[in-house]
Amino acid sequence: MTKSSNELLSDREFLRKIEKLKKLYPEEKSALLAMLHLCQSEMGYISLEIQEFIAKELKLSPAHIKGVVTFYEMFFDKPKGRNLIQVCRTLPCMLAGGEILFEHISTKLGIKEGQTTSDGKWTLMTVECLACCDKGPAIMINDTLYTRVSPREFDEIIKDYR
Amino acid sequence: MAEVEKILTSRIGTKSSSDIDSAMQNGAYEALIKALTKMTPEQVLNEVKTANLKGRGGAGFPAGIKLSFLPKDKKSIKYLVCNADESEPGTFKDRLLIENDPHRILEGIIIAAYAVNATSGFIYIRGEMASGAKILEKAISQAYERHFLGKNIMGSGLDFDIYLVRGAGAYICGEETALMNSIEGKRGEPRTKPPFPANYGVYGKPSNVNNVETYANIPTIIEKGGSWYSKIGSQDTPGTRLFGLSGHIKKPGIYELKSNVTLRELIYDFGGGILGDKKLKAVIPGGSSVPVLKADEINVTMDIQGLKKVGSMPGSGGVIVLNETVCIVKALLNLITFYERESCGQCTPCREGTHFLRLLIENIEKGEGVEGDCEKILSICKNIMGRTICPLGDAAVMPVESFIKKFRDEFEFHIKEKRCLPETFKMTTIFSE
Ligand SMILES: Cc1cc2nc3c(=O)[nH]c(=O)nc-3n(C[C@H](O)[C@H](O)[C@H](O)COP(=O)(O)O)c2cc1C
Ligand code: FES
Repeated sequence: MTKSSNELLSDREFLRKIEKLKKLYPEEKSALLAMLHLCQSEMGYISLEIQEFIAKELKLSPAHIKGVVTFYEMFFDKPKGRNLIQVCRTLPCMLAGGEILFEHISTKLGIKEGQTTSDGKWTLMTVECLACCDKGPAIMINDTLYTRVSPREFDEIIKDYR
Repeated sequence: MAEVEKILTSRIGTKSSSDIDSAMQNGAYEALIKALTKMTPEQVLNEVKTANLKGRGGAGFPAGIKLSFLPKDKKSIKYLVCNADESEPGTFKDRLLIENDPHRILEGIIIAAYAVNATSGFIYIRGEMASGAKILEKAISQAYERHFLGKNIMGSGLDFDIYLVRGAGAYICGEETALMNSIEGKRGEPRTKPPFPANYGVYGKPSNVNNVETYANIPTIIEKGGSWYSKIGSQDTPGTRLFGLSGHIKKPGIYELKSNVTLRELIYDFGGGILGDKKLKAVIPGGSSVPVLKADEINVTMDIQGLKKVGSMPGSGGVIVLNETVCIVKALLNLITFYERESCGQCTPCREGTHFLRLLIENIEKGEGVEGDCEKILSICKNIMGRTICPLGDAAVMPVESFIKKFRDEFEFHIKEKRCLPETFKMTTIFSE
C-alpha cells in the first residue's frame, strides 16, 4: 500500500504490470490512467520520480503526467493517510443526513476536511455524488463503498481498518 | 397508475444475473445472434431509428440518427464509446445495470458495432466504481470466451473488441469530448465542437458516444422490432426509463417505467410519498442540471413534452425530492458548490462564474446577503449561459436561475431577515425518526 518510489521501481511484479498495461489499448497513451491507478494503489500517492518513470514509459513529457495527476481527484501527488475516507456531500446525500454523518466522523477522528490524523491512519475528504443517492448517506473508504451509513455504523465499520 | 413494463431490468433480481450463463438462460445475446445471422447492418440501424430511441445520458438525442452520422464505408476506423461515467447528482441508474446486467450493455454495444461496422469500443467507467469495473471486466472476458467479441464474431465477419477505461474522479469526464480526451490519457477538458465526434472522436477517428442505458435498450429493439418499441409509453421518449428517486422520499430507488408516468405518480404511487410525512416543497426531475419544479408543478408526464410545460427537462432521469424542511438557499449552495468544484477551468465564464455564484449564494445563506444580490446572481447566469465550450456552464446556470425565480421570496427573506425560514430550522433526514 505504501511503497517508496525506489521500492516500486525495483518491484518486478510492478514493472511486469506496467508492461502489460502498455499493450492493453489500441494506443499506448490510453494506459496512462490505468498506470496511475496502479501507482496510486501501490504507493498511496504518485511521487515525482514515479511520474517521470511513467513519462518515459509512455514517451510523454513529465509535465503532461503532472497535468493529468493534478486534474483528477483520485490521484494524489503528495502522501496522505493510510486510509482515505470520502464522504459524499452532494444534495441527495445531504438530504439523507450526510452533514450529520460528516460532523460525527470529523469529531470522532478529530480532523477536518482535507486533514490527516497524527498517526497517519486516516485522511478525511468530501466527494461529489457517488451514484448511489437512493442509499445515502454514502461514504467510500479506500475502494469500498458504504451506503446508508449512520454514525453508529461508521464506528463499527472503521474497526476493520488498521 | 401507469402499467409497469420491464425491459431493462427484466433480468435483474434473477440469480447471478451478471454471469454470462445465467444471463443467457434469460435471453442474453439472442438479439445479437438474430442481428448477425438474420439481418444486414442497414436493417439493424433502421430498427434503432424506427424505435426512436432517445439518448438516456441527459440530452435525449435520437440514438439511431447519431449512429448514422458515422461514415458508412467498411474500411475507415470507427469507435463506439459507452459513457459509464455516471456522475450527475441524483443519478444512479447506470450503476444498477453495470453491477447486475453487464451483458445487456455489452450486447447493445456489439449490436450497434455491427450496424455501423465499428472497429472497437470503449467503456469509460467512473473511477469510484471499482467493483462495477471488476464486474464489467469479467463480463467482457466471458463475452470473448463465447466468441461474442473478438475476430469474426459468430462467423459474421465482424471483428470487434471492447476496452475498459477507468476514470479517476471528474464529473466533467461525462461530457463526451472530455471523456474522449480522458481515454487518450489527457486531462479531461472538453474539446470545441465542431468537429463533432462522428468526424473527430477518440484518437481523432470517427466515434459515437452513448450512455449505458441507451445501449442497454438496443437488444430489446432488435428482438421485438423498432416499431413495437416506438409505441411504448410516450411518443417523444418511447420505451421505458430507469427513474431514480432520492432525497425526501419514503421508498427511494430505481423504478423502470414508461415516460408517460406523471411526476405525481412517481413520487406518491411508486415512491410512497414524502419522507417525514411533510409537505412537498420542490423536485428536481432529471438530475441536478435541470430546472427545479415547485410542488404544484408535478401533474406532468416525465417525457420531453410534459416537463417542457413546466420549464424543465427529463435529463438523466434522477428525481430529487425536497420536503418543506429544506432551506432552499442551502440546497442551491450545495449544488453550486458542486459545479464550482467540477468546472474544469478552461472557460472563464464557467470557472469564474460558478465561483462568484457560490460566493454570493454562500453570503445569502450566512445572513450576509445584501439587497440586489438576486439580480447580481441572475446577471452572472446570463453571462455564463451559452458562452462556454461545453454545457457544464449551462448545467450550473439552470438550477441557479430556476431556484431564484421559483423561490425568490425565500432568498429575499434570507437577505432581509438574515436567517432561514422557521420551518427549515430542522431538516428531515433518514435519522429523523
Ligand atoms: C458536464 C457534463 C457531464 C455529463 N455527464 C454524463 C454522464 O455521466 N453520463 C452520460 O451518459 N452522459 C453525460 N453527459 C452527456 C454526454 O456528453 C453525452 O451527451 C451522452 O453521453 C450521449 O449519450 P446519449 O445520447 O446516449 O445520452 C454529460 C454532459 C455534460 C455536459
Ligand atoms: S448524492 Fe451521494 S451518492 Fe448521489
